[in-house]
Amino acid sequence: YNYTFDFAKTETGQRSISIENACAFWGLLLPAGLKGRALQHMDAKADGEEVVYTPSREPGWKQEYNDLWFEYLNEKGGKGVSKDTWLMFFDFVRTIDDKFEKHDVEAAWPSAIDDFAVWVKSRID
Amino acid sequence: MAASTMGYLFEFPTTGSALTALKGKSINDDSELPPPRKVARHGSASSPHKHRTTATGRTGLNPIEIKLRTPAQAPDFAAMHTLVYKFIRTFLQTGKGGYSGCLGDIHEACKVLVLEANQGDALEGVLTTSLRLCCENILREFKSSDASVNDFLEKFLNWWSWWHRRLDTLRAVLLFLDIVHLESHENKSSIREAGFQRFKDTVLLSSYTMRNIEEALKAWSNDKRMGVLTVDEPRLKKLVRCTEDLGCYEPCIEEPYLSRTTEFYAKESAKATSKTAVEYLQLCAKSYEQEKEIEMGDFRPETSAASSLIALQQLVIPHIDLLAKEALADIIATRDHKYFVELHNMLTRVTSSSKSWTASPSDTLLSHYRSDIISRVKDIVTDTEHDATMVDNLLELKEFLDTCLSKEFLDDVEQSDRQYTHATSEAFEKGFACRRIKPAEMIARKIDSLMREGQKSSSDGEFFVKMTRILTLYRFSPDKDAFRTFYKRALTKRLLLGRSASDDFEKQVLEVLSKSYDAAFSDMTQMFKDLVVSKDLLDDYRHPKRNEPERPDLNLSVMVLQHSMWPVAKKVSKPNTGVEIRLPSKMEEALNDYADFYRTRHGNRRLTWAHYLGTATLRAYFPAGKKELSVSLYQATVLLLFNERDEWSTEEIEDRTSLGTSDLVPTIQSLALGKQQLLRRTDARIGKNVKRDDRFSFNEEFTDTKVKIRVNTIQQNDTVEEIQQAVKVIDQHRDASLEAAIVRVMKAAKTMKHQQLVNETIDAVSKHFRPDVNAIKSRIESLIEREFIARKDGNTNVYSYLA
Repeated sequence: YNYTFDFAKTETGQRSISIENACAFWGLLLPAGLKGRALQHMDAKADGEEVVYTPSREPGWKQEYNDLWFEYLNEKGGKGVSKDTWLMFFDFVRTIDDKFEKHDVEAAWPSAIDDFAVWVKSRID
Repeated sequence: MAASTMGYLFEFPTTGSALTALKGKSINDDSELPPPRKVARHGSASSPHKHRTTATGRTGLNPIEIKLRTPAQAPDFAAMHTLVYKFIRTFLQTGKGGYSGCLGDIHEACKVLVLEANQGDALEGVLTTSLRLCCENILREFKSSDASVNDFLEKFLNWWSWWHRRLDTLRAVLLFLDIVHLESHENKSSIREAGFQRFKDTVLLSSYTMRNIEEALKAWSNDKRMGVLTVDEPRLKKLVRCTEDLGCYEPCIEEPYLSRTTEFYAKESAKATSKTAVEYLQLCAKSYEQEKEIEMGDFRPETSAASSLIALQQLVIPHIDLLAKEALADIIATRDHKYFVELHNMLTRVTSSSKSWTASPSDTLLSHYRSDIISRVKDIVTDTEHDATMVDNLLELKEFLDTCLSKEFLDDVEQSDRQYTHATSEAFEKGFACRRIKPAEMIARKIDSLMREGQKSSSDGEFFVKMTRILTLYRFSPDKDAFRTFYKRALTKRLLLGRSASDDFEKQVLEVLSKSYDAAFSDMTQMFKDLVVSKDLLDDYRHPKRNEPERPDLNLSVMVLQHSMWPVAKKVSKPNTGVEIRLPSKMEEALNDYADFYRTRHGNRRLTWAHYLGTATLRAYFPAGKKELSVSLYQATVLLLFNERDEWSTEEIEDRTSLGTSDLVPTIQSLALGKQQLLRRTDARIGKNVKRDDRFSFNEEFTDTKVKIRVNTIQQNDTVEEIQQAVKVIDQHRDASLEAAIVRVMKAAKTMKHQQLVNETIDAVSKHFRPDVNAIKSRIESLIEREFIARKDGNTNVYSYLA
């Protein structure tokens, strides 16, 4: 997943990839990850300096949400997808609950993801 | 009475020769001298001491022997006892006038019984019982008449004084009992004491009496409150004194009175619903005063104090919100500081009357005060339609509050004062935070207008007082950098357009600002240096040396400003021309000449003209009179066109001057469509907008009372555009500051958790402005992208510094 970001770069020295490309690659990776174990829903707990992930029983990201994410990006995503956003999105999908209620805006999430959490919440309600 | 005891001091001889020489006298005569008596004769009452003379019955010279009876002879105790007993009983009977026997005898008998027969206890017993019975009788007689308050008082007092008198007499008669037996023993009470006690216990403290006293007090206090007089006040006073004497003031007078007060005011407090908050406040205050002043002469002052406090408690506590919130709001709205102090003191008094509060009235008042002020400040600050008066309104509010808080707080001193001052500051800060940047801008504008006006008629001190008040407001604003920016811009314009009233003042204000608020202000004093240097240069320019050419225009004055110090932007009106304005050729010539001159002095410096700040003075010849016009450079350029032709269209002017529309339009408006119309629109049309095909011509009919006219006010005030630009610059600076702060913090810490980084960043810039958490987040993201910091592996909530 992480490798894909660099792979998607069309020029060297690029700092972000276009939304179009990003969505295309996500379109490949997300369904696969959700079906398998890579994007299985996890509980993340801070243990001192480290964060420990344990499998969670609660419902998390759904396949339908992928499209919502793409829609959001195309509407409000801005110019491109930064590496930080790409990388953090992985953890986001893994740890967010299915109603997006547990998202902590005060935490270190990239602003794109913060805004998405707010946006999508009003969409699924 | 002392005489009787003296009897023991003398010992009379049992025989005497005094009468030996007496010739025989008639036998049945009593001797000439009355027989010696040990007590004074009380009249015809027979004394228990029977004098015995030897009845000789014989004539002749017989020595008359006078044998005096010795006290050794046993008297009849029982008889005496009966006598005394009867006396006591009879004496202590209601309805009877008094004792009809000889009191002296009683007195004697008592003495004997006490001293010789040791019957003190018995007598005491009798006395006690009689006292009790008598009092019970009194009460019964008393009770039998259901009378009005005044009748009750009269009766009571009559009985009381009757009792008094009886006791006095009793004491006199039974003196021996009292002194020898009762008073000298510790746990026995004297007659008087016992009498009083008994009266108190039986009569005064009986429920009948107590009830009536209560009724009396109730009626009396109603009188006082209504201002009438139904109760017999002097009698009531005597009653009070009686209770004091009997030591039961508290249960008899104070307690019932206070509980009546409580009841009364509990009912009064129901009036709260029918009055406005402030009216109710007035009622509370009035009641308190009234209660305090209720005097009854013999009322203890503690009672009045207690009752006034009760009044307050009963009235205030159930309606604390009405007073602390609504009344307060009304008071502040009407700027009534008399009532403010009143309200505060009242609640303080109520608070200090009790030690156990879940939320004391004072605290409630303080918190309502705080929220009220916050919302008021917020309203003023966020009222976009009245931006121009924002500062004035805030100043007015602040002044009112300062006055309220500076007046002596009667009951509580520094504590509450500080609390309220603190609350006020807090409230203003919170209120200011409700609007971004604008308040800071308005404050800077206010100071600008003050500096332009100058002192005028007020003294130095007054002027600075005004300034200080405004600066105090500035303290509450979190947008310190915005204020600085706007202040600097305004200062620039003042200095360059020569609008400042006094350079000295400017410098003084800068000093105050930099010392007390923000050291960055001291940099602005550099601006003055530039002006001085420019002046010197100008002098040089105007007096060319021998090898220098003649100056084309000696009236030219140029101010050279260091770009870094002055917020002067390079203005390009029309993007493709790259020129701000095309000036008349003569002006251009003069300016170029100066530029050349400057290059000879400072070859390595580049000059850029800021024409939008330029000014010119034109001599105009109107039919009505010659005028001297102070105009902006833009205005001058436009006006000078009319020397060539009488009429120009907007489009034509634009072509000739290369001014962009946004600059041209205000310029033309100020010349043709404002108050002073130097030009006039040829097709007279109503409307302030300028169309491209509008034609303008020289206004021959222009008149003005003054000869020297200023028309360049448009330069002074910031256009909306300029303000927007300024805000943009402020935001850019803020972003840069945030980034710098974040990097600094991370560099020092190497790694840090997200939350902590945010907090430290806020602290770092707090002196200049209060950042948005989102702004910080986006800066962090940007820094991540530019690889200044990165997320730590294994913990996405922690950042690490990338060297």
